[in-house]
Amino acid sequence: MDSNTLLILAFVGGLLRMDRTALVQTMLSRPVLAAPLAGIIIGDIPAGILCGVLMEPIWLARIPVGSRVPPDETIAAITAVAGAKALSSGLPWPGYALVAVVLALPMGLVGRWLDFRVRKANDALYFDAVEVVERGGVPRVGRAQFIGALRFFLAGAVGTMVGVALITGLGSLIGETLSGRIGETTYQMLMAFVTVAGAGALLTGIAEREGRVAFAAGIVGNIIFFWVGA
Amino acid sequence: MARPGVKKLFWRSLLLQSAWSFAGMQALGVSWAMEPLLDELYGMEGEKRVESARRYISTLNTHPFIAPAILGCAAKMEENGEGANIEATLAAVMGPFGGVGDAFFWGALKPMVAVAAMSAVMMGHLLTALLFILLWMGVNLGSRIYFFRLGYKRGRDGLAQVMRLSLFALSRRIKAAASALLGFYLGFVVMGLKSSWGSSEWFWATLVLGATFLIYIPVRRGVDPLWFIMAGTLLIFGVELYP
Repeated sequence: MDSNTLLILAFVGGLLRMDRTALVQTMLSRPVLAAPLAGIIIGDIPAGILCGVLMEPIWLARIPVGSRVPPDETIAAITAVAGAKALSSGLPWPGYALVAVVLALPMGLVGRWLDFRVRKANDALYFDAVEVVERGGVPRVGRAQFIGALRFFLAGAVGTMVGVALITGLGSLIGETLSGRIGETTYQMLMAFVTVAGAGALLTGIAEREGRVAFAAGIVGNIIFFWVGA
Repeated sequence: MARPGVKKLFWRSLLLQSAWSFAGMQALGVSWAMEPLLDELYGMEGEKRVESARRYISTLNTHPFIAPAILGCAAKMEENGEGANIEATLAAVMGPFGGVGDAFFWGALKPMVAVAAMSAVMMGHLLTALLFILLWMGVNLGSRIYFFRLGYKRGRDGLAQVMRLSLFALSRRIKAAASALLGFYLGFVVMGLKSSWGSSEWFWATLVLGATFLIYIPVRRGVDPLWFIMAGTLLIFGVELYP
């Protein structure tokens, strides 16, 4: 991957990372959108779509309640798409995108750690404002807001850059190691496994008692849908 | 017609979490959002202005989509000269609003939209997936506007009305619908497995259902799904590479 693409991905990673907390919380930072966007940048939209769809449900049930910081799927999703690009020279479709998703997942935890550090660093901005009030002044916090948002941006940009650089190096190595040694059916099995694992993880957040029954009914509904269609 | 400070308050409320910190949580965002209105009401400095700044520097954390209701109510109370009561009001509602917002927006609506978008992608309808995301953006901005107007127009009665919206009950229904949709989404995996390996779709459906709940149980107890996926991948590749 050339340095321009790396910088563009890092910039996009930073912007999308801001959307998660510092900006308006549109869903632009979700893997289902962030990964296809990264796919457009690297020139492999199908890989972007697949990485996004596979990664989307994995941590969706981990919601930011109170001071809890969930894993950073945005950085992980962009890293996965960059990894797909690196692996695509050695592995067939869709295997390269699948392996990239698995390799990129730890970046979600790295992103969470970066997020944690930013929030901790922002404590000082808050204490400064409190001190101004305690001294009998009026705190003007526009600059603090800007610095806080900038930190979220930098955490996203740096995290994405590290993830993309690591997976590009590692991806080529793993691509060469696995090249020609994994059959199509094994990739299909991996695809089913990652999808089911993501669904199982998401189900923990949404399925209360009636939800579990509804979930089973949904699977049956799909089968009937295809029967009727056939 | 709302004064300029009130309009600025709404737009600034969109950046409530720009400097989110563990110590103050959304406090800096609230202080920044209230600045123009407080300057307008009490001037740029002076005892009253300092006192008003003190009201908004306490630690505050609530759901960002419902927070505009609190800010709108605070604006109304400041305008009515009831500033001294604001801190107690903020403290009373931020927790319940956070809980209901997390349950409804993060816990129910967002997964529903995400699963709908994923299913649309699986069926090859990329534009439909994009429409679901646009819908989310509409709900995001629409609910912020709605809650802000409610808080500003009706003051503390508006806050009480937020709690009467039955968002908890609605979130349970949306979660059940999202679960059904997630099952429908996994149905594509079942059909894929059937076309690759044969056998009946009911066999694969049972297997997929069993595997999902096998992962569901430990993840519900706090195990990160990441470890399952890594371990499962190593196992699947290991069997192929070292039979």
